[in-house]
Amino acid sequence: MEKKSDWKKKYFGFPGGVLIFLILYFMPAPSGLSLAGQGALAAFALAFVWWVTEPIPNHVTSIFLMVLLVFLGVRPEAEVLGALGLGVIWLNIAAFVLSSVLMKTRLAKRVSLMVVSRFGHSGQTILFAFLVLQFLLSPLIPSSAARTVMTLPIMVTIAAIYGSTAERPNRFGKNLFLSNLQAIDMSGSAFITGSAANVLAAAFIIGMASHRIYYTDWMLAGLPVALGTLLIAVYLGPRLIFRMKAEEMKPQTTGGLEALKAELQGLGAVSFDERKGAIIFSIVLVLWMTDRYHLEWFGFEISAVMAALIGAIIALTPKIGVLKWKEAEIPWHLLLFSAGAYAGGLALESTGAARWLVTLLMDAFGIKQGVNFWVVYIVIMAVSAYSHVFFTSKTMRTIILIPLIIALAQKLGFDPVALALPAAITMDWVISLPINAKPNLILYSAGHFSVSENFRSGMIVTTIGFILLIVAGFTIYRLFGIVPY
Amino acid sequence: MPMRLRYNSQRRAWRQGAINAITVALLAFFLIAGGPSRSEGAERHIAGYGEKISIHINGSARVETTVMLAGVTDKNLLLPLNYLWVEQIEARIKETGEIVPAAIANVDGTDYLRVELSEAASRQGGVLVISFRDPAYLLWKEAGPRDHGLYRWKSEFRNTSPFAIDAYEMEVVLPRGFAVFQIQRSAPALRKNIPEPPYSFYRDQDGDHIRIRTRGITLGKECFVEYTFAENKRSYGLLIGGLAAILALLYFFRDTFKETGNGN
Repeated sequence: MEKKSDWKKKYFGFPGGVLIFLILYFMPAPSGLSLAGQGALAAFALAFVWWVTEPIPNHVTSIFLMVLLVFLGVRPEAEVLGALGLGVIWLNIAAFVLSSVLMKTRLAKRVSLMVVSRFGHSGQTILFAFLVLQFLLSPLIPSSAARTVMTLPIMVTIAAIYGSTAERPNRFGKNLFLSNLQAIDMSGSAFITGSAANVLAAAFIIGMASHRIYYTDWMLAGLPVALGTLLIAVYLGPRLIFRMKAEEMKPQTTGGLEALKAELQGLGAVSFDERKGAIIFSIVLVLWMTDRYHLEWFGFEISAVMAALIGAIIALTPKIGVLKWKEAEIPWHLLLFSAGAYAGGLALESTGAARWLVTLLMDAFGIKQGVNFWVVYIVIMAVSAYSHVFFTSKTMRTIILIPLIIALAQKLGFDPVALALPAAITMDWVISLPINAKPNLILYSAGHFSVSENFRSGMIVTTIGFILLIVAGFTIYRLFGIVPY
Repeated sequence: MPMRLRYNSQRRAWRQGAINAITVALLAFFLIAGGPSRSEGAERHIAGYGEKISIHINGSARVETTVMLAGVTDKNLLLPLNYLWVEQIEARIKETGEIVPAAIANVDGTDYLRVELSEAASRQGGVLVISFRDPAYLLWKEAGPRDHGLYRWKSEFRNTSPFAIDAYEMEVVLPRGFAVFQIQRSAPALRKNIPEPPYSFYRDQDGDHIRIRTRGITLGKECFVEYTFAENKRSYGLLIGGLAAILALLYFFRDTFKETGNGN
């Protein structure tokens, strides 16, 4: 039997999704939105309501979304079904193969036990330890998806130590996975090299506003806000977002921390299979970390997806590898969810509906000549921070928003950098839905949180970030000369 | 073998020398022969050129072409004509209202709009407005209907005139009662790394408008937009089906979630 609120959510969510679809699909198409865009918007809204309220399994909703997109003529069938062949889906497959390697060889268990033995006297310390880890990895491994794949097995094992599994996720698991999701995505905003979207945003600022953005400029603007937001989020997570009782903060194993330390001792010396697992993972890691030299070394570039697949091939090769195909625990139903969700997101982008929504948001605030700078600043930061919900691609959002903001600033007579740089930092804040970024999909596929939990947590943390961005605007950005007012 | 190799290398060197000599001769010829006309062409620019194509429900279209005359020194203008049937041609200077003679002219097998400007019109450099009717612009049978009741059509402009056009804009007004479904292709193309698409669409009292803009259309270059459009009304069957689905879901699932959850 479910809680009454959950039952009501599902019961009304089912027809509610259909009702929202009908309203959006049958309303007169607004100016600037094509009929295909209107169809994409209506279909995505239906799926969004169903993903959040979960009247039917999320992967079934995704399949329904794909069918709906084809039936409404929004996108061709081949393109919609082709979402299952996207790089992000293959990355998911490789991630779970590699994760299975570390699980089977018990390497993940060994590393996790070491982490828990060191920091595990409180679940909160574990969350902070992961935050530090993600910030340290961010400048070393530019691909956020690669960082996710790398840390996923340790997350899964530590979550299990604290009693959270894919079958029975608990609040520690939700806090752990969602705080990692936020840390992986948002830590990218601290450095200009943190993501391709950052580099692109900087290029727009140079090209359109004739202002060069240096590494330190970006870091001074991005690091304090990202770090501050994530520290607050990790602190508030177990206290406010997914409130944990004191006993849930401790390992859920009989004998507690001492037993875990004993278990670590009991693992003995590193086995041959563990070494093999470590070597396979190291090969992938080296490929991820050296991506900028691939062209020089090999004559071609090896993407994060291909590097992970190379690791999966080695792991699955008899004699050399350590895994049999049936031992790879790949959550196929969640890959179907990802494919459908991606198809929906891509339809929003390719029909121009996402662009239309962003400009609608901008227009809704009625920014005109003579408006106070801080009003414009707050509105633009709000639109930049929250608009990630409509997008599957940071790059696409950057391409749409940053030139729009620069042009608006120039029109209103403000320094474009004062608005565009803080807004550019929010381009990596893609934390509210599994479809917003590759790390989100991979972590969602681990099964420790639902779409509605992701959305709730993402919105709260985005709001924390938004408030800090406003505070930074009034204080440190003035001090650093980013905001000259 | 070594002899043969040496022979081959000598022959290669001779052939390379001949190619170089021909290339130099051709370059010299083109520089001498093509020089004056190219520099002449470089001076012949139209700063702004626009076309508004208003499509009627019967497939005919009213076309209004605007040409910025500033910097145009020719009195006899040969302008591009990309329509198969043209009638009711009228041309005037926007600022003065002066009517100027305009007609179709065929030069070397290519149709042009020939406009004869008066001395004053040529000197003042205002905006030339030419309007005409194409009785069969949109061929409905060719356009559709296809899947989902969609019609597909391409509106295009190719510069066949000796003038280079600095800024070009085409605006297509769809027949009343029809709306843009999707832009399929365009030239210039939509690219992921440019902030603004080359085209836009909006709704006005006279219908759905599609607008495409580009710069620097020289002789032989084109600008086009290919679009699907449909009747601006939705199927009532879907609406009724959707409403019935809402009622059915409320009725059939009234106890399901209480008992079984969602089956995840």
